[in-house]
Amino acid sequence: MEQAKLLTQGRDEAIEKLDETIEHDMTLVGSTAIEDKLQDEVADTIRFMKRTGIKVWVLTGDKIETAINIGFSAGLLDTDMDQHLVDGDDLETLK
Amino acid sequence: MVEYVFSDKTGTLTQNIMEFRKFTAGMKNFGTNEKPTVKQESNVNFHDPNFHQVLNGSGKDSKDLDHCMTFLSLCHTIVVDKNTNAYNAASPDELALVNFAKQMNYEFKDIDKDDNMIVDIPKKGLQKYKLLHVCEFTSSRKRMSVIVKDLNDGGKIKLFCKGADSIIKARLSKTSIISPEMAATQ
Repeated sequence: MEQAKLLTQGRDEAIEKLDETIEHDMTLVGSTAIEDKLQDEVADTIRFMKRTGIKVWVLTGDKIETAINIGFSAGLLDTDMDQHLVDGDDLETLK
Repeated sequence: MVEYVFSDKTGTLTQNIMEFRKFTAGMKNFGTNEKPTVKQESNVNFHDPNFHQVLNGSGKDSKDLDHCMTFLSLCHTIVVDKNTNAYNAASPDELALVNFAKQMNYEFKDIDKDDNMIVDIPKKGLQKYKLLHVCEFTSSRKRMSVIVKDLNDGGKIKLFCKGADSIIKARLSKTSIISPEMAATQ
């Protein structure tokens, strides 16, 4: 680690590699839930936009469960809609 | 006429104010949907009368809860402002976790000149953990760890790691992954 810290090139990568070698065989202590509330009136605004015929797309890096949850609370999705889930890791699967 | 609206990510729909709501420690779940009755630290919105009951009880649940709370007070890179005593956190999530621990009387005090993290813990008082190394959080690692020497536990060296569920899961021991504690988080 001391050697890695003194590198002038590729230092971050070298430290990251070393860190990786010790973060394993861990024991679960617990889990936490942190809420990020929607901005005020997001759901009403989105429903209004949809009523006027605007098509709404959301791009997100969140995982599917989070994206669906946000979709419902933001008024993007509702239970009357047909829902289609296309999920896969590569282009071939998605075709 | 507007036909399409693209929102770049869910982060723009939300307030980006992180609030600590619920957690599991060992096999127990904590946190209700009711409004808190006591004053909350910033980034905390937590109510559960069961918390103190379990903590003050005996046996495994109390130990697990104490361990989890100690973890929360230690596993971070918070810097305490010398003048105001305010926490300076790398992210609002981190502030939520450490402020929650503080609210429950597991208070991170400061790091002294010898790199000792000092935390005030119920029934034990001030405890010293020498900070040996921080495995930094990056957006690709999605986790961070602190390695500390537990000066209250015979100088044992311990690694505390927090991060995204999928990332942590992949790094648990074979026993931990099939443990009832793991099932309790689902």
